[in-house]
Amino acid sequence: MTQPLDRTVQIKAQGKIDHAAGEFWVENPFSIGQKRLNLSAYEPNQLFLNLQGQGFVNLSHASGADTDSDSRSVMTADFDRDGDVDLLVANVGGGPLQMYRNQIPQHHHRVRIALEGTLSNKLAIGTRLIATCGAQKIVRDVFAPNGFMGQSPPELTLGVGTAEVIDSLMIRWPNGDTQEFTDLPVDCQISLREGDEEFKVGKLVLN
Amino acid sequence: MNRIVVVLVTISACGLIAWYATRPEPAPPESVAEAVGFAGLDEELQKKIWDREHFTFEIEKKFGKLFSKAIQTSPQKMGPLFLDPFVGSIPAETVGEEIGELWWQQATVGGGENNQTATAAEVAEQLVQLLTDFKVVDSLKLKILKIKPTAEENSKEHPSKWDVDILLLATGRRSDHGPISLDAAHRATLHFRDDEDIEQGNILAAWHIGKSFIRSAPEKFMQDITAEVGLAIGPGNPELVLWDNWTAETQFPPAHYNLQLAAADFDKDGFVDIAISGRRNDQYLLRSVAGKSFENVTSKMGLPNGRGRKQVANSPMHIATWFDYNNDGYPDLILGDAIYKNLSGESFVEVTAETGIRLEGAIFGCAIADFDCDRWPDLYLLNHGVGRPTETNQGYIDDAQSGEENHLWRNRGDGTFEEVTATAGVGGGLRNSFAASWFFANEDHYPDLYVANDFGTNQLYINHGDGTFTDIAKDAGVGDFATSMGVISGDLDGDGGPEVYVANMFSKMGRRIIANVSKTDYPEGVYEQILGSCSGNRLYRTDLGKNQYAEISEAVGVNRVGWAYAPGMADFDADGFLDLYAATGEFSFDREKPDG
Repeated sequence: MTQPLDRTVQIKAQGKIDHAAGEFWVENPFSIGQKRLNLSAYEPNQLFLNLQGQGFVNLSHASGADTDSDSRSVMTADFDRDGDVDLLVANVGGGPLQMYRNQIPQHHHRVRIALEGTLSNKLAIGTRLIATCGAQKIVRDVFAPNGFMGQSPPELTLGVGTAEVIDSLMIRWPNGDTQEFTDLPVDCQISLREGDEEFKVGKLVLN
Repeated sequence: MNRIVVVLVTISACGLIAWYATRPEPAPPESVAEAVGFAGLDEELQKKIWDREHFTFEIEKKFGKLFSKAIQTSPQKMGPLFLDPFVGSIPAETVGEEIGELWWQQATVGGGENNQTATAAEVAEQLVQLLTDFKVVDSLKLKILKIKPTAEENSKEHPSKWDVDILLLATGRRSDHGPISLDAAHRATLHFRDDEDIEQGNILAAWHIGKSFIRSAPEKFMQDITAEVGLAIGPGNPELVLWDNWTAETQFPPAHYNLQLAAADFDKDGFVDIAISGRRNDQYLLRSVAGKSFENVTSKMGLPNGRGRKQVANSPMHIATWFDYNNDGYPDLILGDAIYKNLSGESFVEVTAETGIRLEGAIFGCAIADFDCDRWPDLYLLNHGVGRPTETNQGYIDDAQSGEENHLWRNRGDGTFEEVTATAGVGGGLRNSFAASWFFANEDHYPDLYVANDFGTNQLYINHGDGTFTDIAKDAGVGDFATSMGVISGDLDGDGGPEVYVANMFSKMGRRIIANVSKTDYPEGVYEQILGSCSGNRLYRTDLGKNQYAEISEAVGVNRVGWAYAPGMADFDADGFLDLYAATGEFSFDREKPDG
C-alpha cells in the first residue's frame, strides 16, 4: 500500500472491505474527492487560547467557532468595531462564509492603533510596535497577513490585559526610524502619524 | 534523479493520507515506478498495514458504538467490555487541575507519572466520571491513533493482542447549556481474533487512563452572526451566489479551493469590507454597512463580476488582495486576474497593463510588504504551478520539481513595477506555493519571508536589505517537508521574536501506519517526509535574532488540527498574547460514513 507520490497510481484492495459498515477503498487516492467520498471529513476548526505565553488551551468547542465545514481561509479583524477581534472563515463546503463575533466579556483593556506612514508607506505595513505595560512587553508587527487564500487587514487592536495605562510605546516605522511615546491611555483609538510628536485620541468603539 | 517522495496509501474508514489532484489526469502509471526506482513497500508489510487499518475501522465503528453507549450509561454497563484477567490503571489523584476564567474552564485528569493499578470496575468508574459535567452528550467518538501487536505477539502471523493509543473525543452541553468537550488520550490492550470478536465487544484486556481534558464555557464566546450580517448563502440572499460542495449539484466535481477573500476598509469609513474572488466566475466587493450588514457594491464600484477571466489549470485565476500600491491610503485591489486602482473609495479602475505586473501562470495568491523599505509596497506572487511532468515520470510529484517559481515585483513608485525575482533570489524553486508570510525574523526592519509549499520543503528567506535574500530554512530548523498549506507568524511569548505557525496535515491514519513501518522500508529520506506529512501543524518557536527555531507544536498541543488550511493569529481576549485559530477539513460528504 505504498507508492511513489504518484497521481496515476492504482492500488488494489488487499483484503476484505466491510461495505455494510461503510468501509471503502479507492484504488487511486487522487480521485477520492471526485468520487464524493469523505476525506478528513467534518474536522472542527480549532481555537487555541494562549495562556500568557506559557502554553495553550484548546477552546475550540467552548468557543463555538469549531465549525466542521470544509474550511479554507481565516481572516481576523474587528468587523463590528467594538474593540475586539472577530473572525471570518471561508469554506468550500458547509456554507461558503462564516462570521463569528467575539463575545468574550472584555475585562481587559484595549487600544486600537491607527498608523499613518509619511516617509514610510501610507498604511504603515511593516511597522513594529513594542508596548510596555508594567512588567509586560507586547510586541506586534503590522502586516496584512494571508495564512491561506484570505488576507486580513493591516489593522491593530492591541490588548494590554489589566494595564490601565501604556507606560511606553516604541514604534519602528517601516523605514527604520523609531519614535517613542509614554503614558498612553487605554480603551481608545490612538492615531499616530509618522514623524508627528503628538498622537490623537479617538473612540475605540464605533458602534 | 531528484529525491522522490513516497507516500503510503491505505484504506480505512477514514480515507487516505491522501494527496489531492488539481491538475488534469496524467499519463500511464508503469513509468513512475521505473522512474523512481521503487515499486512500493514489501507486499507482506502492505498486507499487515491493510489488516491493521481494517481492524481500526471495525474497532472505531463497532466497538466504539458499544463503548460510547456504555460510558454514557453507567460503570456497570461497561462491565461486559472488560476481559478477565484485566490490567488497569487510574490516576493517583482523583481531583484534577482546574484552570480558567469566568468565560471558560478546563479540568485536567490524569497524565501524571503516578498512575495506580486499578480493577476493571475502578477503570469503568473513572471513565464514566469523565462525563460527569455533561448534561447532554451530542457526540462521543473513540479514535485509534496507534495500533501494534503486543510485544509477545509481535512476530506472530496473526496476532490477537494489540496495544492501542486511544483518543476519546466528546462534545455536549453542561447543565447550564454551556458547551463542554472531552479530549482524552488513553492506552489500552485489545484482545480479539476477528471482526466478530470486535463487534461482540468483550475485548478490553487493559486500559490505562491518560491525560484527559474537560473544557467548557458558560456560553459560546464566538457567536455565529453569518445570517445576521447577510453573509449566509441561499435562496433568501440572491445578491450573493457562491459555490458550496455540500449543496452543489452532484454532476459538478467538488472544489478543492474555491473562494479567495481579502478584508480591508477600502472606503475609510472605519469598517472592514470584504472582496471575494471565486473559481466559479464569481467576484464580489461587499461593503460593510457599519459592521451590521454587507452591501454588494461590485458593479456600483466599477468592478466586473468575474466572468471572462483567464483560464489556468481548468479554472480562472482568482486572486483577492488589498494593496495600496500608490500610497494614497485607499487600498487598491487585485481581484480575479486584474489589478484595480481605488479612486478614493468611490470607484475602481483597471490598471493591470499600466503596472507592468504579469499575472500569468497559475498565480495562487499574494503576500504584500515594502521589502526594500523605500516607501512603496511591493508584491510577492505565489505560483502554484501546473506540474512539471517529464518524459520518464508523468505522474509523481517531487519537491523542487513540483510547480513553478514565485515572483517578486518591486514597486517603482510611479505606478509601475519591475520583476526582481532573480536578483532577489526568492523564487522558491519549482514548487507548489500555497502561502507566504512577511515577518521580522531578525532585528533589522527589513521584512523577511517564509514560504509554505505543498509537496515540498519550505523556505525562510532572510532579507539582507540590499535587494537580496538568502534561504536559511534548513539551518534554522524550519525547512521541513510537510505538505504545507498555510503560514502565519507573530510573537506568541512576548520576547520579540515572532513564532511561525505552519498549517500541515495531521493524519490519524498516517500516524498509525508510520508506527508500523521503519526507515529501512523506504529509499533514503522518504520516511522523514512521510512523517512530516502526517504530524500536523507545526509551531516553530524562536528567540529574537537567533535564527534558530524549535518545533513545539505537539508539546503545547497545537498540532492536531486535521487536514489544515489557513492558520490565524489574534489576541481574542486582549490579554496581550496572540491566540491561534486554525481552519481544517478536506471533503465532507456523508455524516454516516467514516470521517477520518
